[in-house]
Amino acid sequence: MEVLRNKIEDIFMSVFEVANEDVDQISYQSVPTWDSIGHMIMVSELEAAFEISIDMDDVIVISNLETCIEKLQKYVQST
Amino acid sequence: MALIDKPKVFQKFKDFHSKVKANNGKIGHNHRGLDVNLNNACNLRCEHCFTNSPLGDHVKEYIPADVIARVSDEAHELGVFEFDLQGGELLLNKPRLYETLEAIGTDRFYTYVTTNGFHMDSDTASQLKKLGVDRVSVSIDSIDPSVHDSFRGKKGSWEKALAALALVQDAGIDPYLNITVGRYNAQSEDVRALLELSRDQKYTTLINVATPAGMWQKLDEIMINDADRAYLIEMRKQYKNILRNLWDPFDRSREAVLGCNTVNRMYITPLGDVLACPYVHIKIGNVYEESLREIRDKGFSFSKFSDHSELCLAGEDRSFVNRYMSDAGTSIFNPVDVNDIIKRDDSASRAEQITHKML
Repeated sequence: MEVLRNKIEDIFMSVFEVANEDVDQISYQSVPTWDSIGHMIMVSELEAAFEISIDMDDVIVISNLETCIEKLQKYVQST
Repeated sequence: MALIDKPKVFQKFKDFHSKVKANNGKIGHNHRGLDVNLNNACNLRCEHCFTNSPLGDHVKEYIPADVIARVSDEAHELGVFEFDLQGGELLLNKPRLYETLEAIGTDRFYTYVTTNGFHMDSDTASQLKKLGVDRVSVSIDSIDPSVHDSFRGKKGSWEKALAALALVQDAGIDPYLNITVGRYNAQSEDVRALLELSRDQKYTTLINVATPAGMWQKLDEIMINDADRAYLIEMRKQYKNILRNLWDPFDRSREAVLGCNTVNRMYITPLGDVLACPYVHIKIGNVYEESLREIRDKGFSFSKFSDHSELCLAGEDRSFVNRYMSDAGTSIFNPVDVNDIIKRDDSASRAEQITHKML
């Protein structure tokens, strides 16, 4: 779980261009870099990093770090 | 509204991203958008209008809703995810615009309306939002209202344009501040001030490069040069809210180029003619005669549209402009036919080969 969280945090920091201490504060559209394009890049990076394909139903629900971790658990556990 | 709020759109956007990634970051033959000039009537007289609206060119014709519906279905099948309604000035006939939006099926597209903003009000903004419009693009030519008004040929147009951006933002629609950039202003303080304004107001800035087309046909001195191009990339990095259709929106280093979008983003005139892009007045088909897929295939049969170009063909490639955009009288309503260009190029190529053999 810690490994999952750390990997997702790294992706968030890189894609949304935020510092480590801010990564759990941001949410979709709360920062300029987390717009639809940013969301797209985030999903793509997650899929590449974990070698998964995220369902569209989950893609549109991921809105912050915690929902992302929650949703990704089922994909990572099943691989 | 954002792409994420429309799952069908987001899926197409995701597919586009995957295909671009698989193609080394180049757009290739992947479809992106459709620009539809619904009607060419306009209340402004912009100096650089590429549709010749100030000349009153074909201002009565429009594309009916049933044709829009069919074309939208075909566009959706091709994977098009952006749909831009433009003119002319579409707010001159709001009932027609609303009917058109209903015909499109806006749940399937990131839908936008390009307007000069003169006739925008809060009711209109709300109605556009209700009908699924995600973005409204308004052009601003200068931070100085008098310069903008003079360029647009109507006093008060700057104030109305700024107000329109604020109104659509209040209505929950993405506001895009469009800036046309040419040799004459690319590195100016004026453009810099507009970039600051856009960022401060939390708009997205869309850069369109000036093209020698329409009212500016043959004025190739307005085209940006290499230094301007490099400067725009610097601005892109500095003001992270800047987009250009040529650029790769997925590249976080903000340097990569998708490539010229000819045929990837087709332009439909009020007569139903399909051009390779709004600024390249080369006809590749007509929606009253062929399907969008057939038109697309014909477009990509021309090597200049099929091959990757790092430059915007109409705004940055002087050899393309000199060879294919210089016939007098060419316009969106009098375009050059791509079949004629292909024949002309084939003949020229054969003549060159014969000459070469003789030498």
